[in-house]
Amino acid sequence: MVADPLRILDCSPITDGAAAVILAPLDLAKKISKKPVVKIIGSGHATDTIALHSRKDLTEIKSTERAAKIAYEMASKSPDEIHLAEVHDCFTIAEICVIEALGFAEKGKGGPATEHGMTTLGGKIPVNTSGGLKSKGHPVGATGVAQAIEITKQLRGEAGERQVKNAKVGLTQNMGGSGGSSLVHIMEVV
Amino acid sequence: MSSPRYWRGIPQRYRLEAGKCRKCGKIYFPPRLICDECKSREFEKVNLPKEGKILTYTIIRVAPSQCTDQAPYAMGIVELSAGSTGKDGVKILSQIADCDFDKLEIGMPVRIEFRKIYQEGEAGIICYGYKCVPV
Ligand SMILES: [Zn+2]
Repeated sequence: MVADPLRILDCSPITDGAAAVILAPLDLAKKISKKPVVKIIGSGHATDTIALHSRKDLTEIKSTERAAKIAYEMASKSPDEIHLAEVHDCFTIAEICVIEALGFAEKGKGGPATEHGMTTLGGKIPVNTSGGLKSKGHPVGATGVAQAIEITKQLRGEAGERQVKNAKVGLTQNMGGSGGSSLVHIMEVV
Repeated sequence: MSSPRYWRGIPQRYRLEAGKCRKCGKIYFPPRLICDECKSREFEKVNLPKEGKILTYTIIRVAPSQCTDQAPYAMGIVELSAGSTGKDGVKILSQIADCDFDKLEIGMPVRIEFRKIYQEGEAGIICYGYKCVPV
């Protein structure tokens, strides 16, 4: 037990790791890339108080909710149109709160939805096919870019055994300060 | 946390000094420079009441380095009574000391007491602050 009710496997291990992507204007990217190009179609950033005791509701991650709203609007997409997502599951409960904030599950339903397979490979919205922070490891500075890499692999159809069928649109959600700051990106293969 | 940085927080840590927005009345603990509700920059100092109830809690079993000798211990978010501030629902994060873990529950009344928080560095400088104890 780490802090009731979180046990050690509920917590992501802080690990070493590195991640990198190449960003380029779309026409240039098409020219230099031999692989399908993935375009960022939505991007949102929002903040909340860092102190948990200053938040109105401990079970909501408002910064993710706001960042997602901005990203969905920019991309002209709704949660139903996202084929897979990589989210910041620093702890088991974080993923549950995040999938609710992203609109994949109703508030209070993220836990049961996960239990019933909504977020598994082949589920309605596969979440963290990479393993996420908990199973892949959490190299704090590299985690966010690693999410973008997993989505890129999936959208290019290069994810091998964990490939999500017909994945065309993916989402990443990263956060810091227990949800004090959140970033949401939506990507599409072009 | 270095001692000078800790000491700058003494008005809050020793006396529970909070900032109350002069315009909209929202209370911030610790105090802030700008009100996130109405963006006002004018605050008056208020002392938070010393009693409240447990809103939620956990038992820390793997503690940060400064507190390993105290583990396991209870931490909770405590909702303070209105008292002289005239505002309900100001919340603080605090250790819940002198308690039986099995008897802790949400809604339990607690009192805030002046306590030793931890000892720091090789010199063992003592940092004081507040902890909650069940009434
Ligand atoms: Zn105000």
